Amino acid sequence: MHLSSTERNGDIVVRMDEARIDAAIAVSFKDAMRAHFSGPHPRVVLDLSQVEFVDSSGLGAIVAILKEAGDDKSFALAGMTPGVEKVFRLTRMDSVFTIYPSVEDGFADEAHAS
Amino acid sequence: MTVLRTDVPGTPEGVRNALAKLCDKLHDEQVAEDRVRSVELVVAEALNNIVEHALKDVAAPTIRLSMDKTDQAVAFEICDCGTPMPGNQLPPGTLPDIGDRVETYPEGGFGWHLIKKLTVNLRYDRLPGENKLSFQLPLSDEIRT
Repeated sequence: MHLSSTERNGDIVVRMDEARIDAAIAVSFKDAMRAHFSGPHPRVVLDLSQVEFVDSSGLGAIVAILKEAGDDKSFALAGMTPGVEKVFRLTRMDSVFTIYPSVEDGFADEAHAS
Repeated sequence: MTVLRTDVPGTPEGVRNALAKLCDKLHDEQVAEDRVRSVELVVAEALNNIVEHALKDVAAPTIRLSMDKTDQAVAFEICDCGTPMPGNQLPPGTLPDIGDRVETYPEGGFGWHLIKKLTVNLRYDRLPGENKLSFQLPLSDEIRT
């Protein structure tokens, strides 16, 4: 499982470096993501720009992460590729996430403020 | 014409490898990228369901997959020797309720909905000792959703 994380404006950006979030790795992906919620950062942004394929198990894992984030942390998605976007749209789960076209867009407000 | 016939080990890794082979084949056949993505998703959901449910208690589980292709569509037959579908029929495939509270967001139940949304002529037959699932995906006009 390859995830890389960087701090940005007090938040944390976690990039999924593998091309697939599927049934074979959904559980280990969820476990690896969980570690990034233990720090002081109020927001975790998951960068999906390297991910070409998400199946319903992968989608379930991403929903589970949102549920575990609870009220204390916010969790947003960024950089969905067309195939991944389609899975969220067809299941209407695009309606429950904050989704940015890119990580940059997720920080656009801060850029204006500074 | 049958363009792919393969035995898939009934494990998540077996499914992964079969999907890679399937996508290579579709690219060889000059299928458009957005169609390849839909085909991969549907076949992934179908195979994952078989691995997680039908073949759960089967020793050395194997799935037989074949793909026929015309200019208009790809047609699949997927057979396994696992337990039958509940009631010997396809699940309803309705989208799980999202609800209005984060605690109740569904983490599963999406698979059959995706299959039904993206396929035509979806059919399940319980044969003696075997499940057979067949469906087609059009290659020209995407099913608009």
